[in-house]
Amino acid sequence: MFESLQEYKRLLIIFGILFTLLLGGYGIFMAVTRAGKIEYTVNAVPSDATITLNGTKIQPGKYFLEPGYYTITAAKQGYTTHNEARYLTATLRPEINISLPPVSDEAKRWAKDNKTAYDDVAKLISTKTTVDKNRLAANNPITKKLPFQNYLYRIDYEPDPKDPKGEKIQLNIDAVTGQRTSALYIIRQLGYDPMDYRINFVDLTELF
Amino acid sequence: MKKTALYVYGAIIISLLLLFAFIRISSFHKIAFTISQPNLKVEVFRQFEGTKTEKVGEFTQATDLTLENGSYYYIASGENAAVKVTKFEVDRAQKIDVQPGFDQEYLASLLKSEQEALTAMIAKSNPRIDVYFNINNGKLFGIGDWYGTTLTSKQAEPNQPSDFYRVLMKKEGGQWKLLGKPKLIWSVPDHPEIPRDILSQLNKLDPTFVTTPASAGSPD
Repeated sequence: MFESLQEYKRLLIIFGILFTLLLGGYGIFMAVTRAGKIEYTVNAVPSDATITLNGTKIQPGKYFLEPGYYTITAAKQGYTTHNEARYLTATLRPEINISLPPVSDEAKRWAKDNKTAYDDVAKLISTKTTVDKNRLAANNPITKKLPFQNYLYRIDYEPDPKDPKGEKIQLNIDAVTGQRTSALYIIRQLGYDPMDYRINFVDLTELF
Repeated sequence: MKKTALYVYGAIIISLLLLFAFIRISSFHKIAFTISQPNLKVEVFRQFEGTKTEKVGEFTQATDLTLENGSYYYIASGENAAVKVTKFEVDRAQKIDVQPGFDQEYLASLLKSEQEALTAMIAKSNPRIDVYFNINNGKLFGIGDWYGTTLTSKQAEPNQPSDFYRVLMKKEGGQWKLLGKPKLIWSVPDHPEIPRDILSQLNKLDPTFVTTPASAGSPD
């Protein structure tokens, strides 16, 4: 009896050591493979849309991604395709939130029946926008004066999608035709040089 | 005992002197100046707190100056050179290329012989430009190697604000070439390869004050 207990103890110790080694090994493996990566959450509605990240097909969920410039697409028949390209950085809220607007009648019916799913993603988009804007405010004093709006144009900001550090802003100017130059003039009047920012003119037709 | 104390004090004093010397030496840095504009005289000044300044160097060709940490500025002067005060901070070794550009008057005189060809080149670059826009007379920047102008819509009402586009050209190897497409604004993040000073001058061009549209016939 005593002998078998000793053997049992020895076996327990061996298993214990093996388990600890395996656990430690797994921990080291995970730490090495995830080192320098950011845990990003991908949310999408409809969730069965075909989503690609730099050409690789993915599904909604959590991913450990290297910081870098990514092309994100999402498509589903009957819905408007989503295309964006931006730096994914640790500075900004690590989320990719996609909401595909329905186009076909069938898709519109589905969207109506799944309003909660659309609302959930809309909430995530709104939260990310607020969190990111607050983080960017510290490095970009102009943000204190934005959004700037009158009846001819609106000037707002978002993270500069081409800034690898996620610290700079892009100005979005939504102006009626003929008033974009006026909006740039107002930025100077506010005490900032518009050429210091990447500027996106909303709905600007490519003339050249 | 006295001897040992003497050695210890001596060692401390020498160490302190060495430390002081090291700190002093490491606060000086080599600043390599190059001049890429002909006939220039460059004067370098140190700016102390308040209004006190001290001239620390003057040269007419590429020169290395060893300067102590601090705030400095240089003034380049010469025939046809733009008068410009350029500030710089010394906290490490660095290279500074002095090129204040030509003054406005000289640039305007250089432009006279090129204006027509530059306007024609812009018109030819995109058929839409000549159809929908007036190509205004522009300005040369730098040492006459940059040209910027504005495009105003032909449909714009005279007293109504309208969007205008900016065009930038660069002279390389004696040949002018258009840089990119006309834009409402040329930003630093979009064009880190273009000197900030050039972008600044381009973005400040205002067709309201520039000239009569070149394509409609210049009064010159």
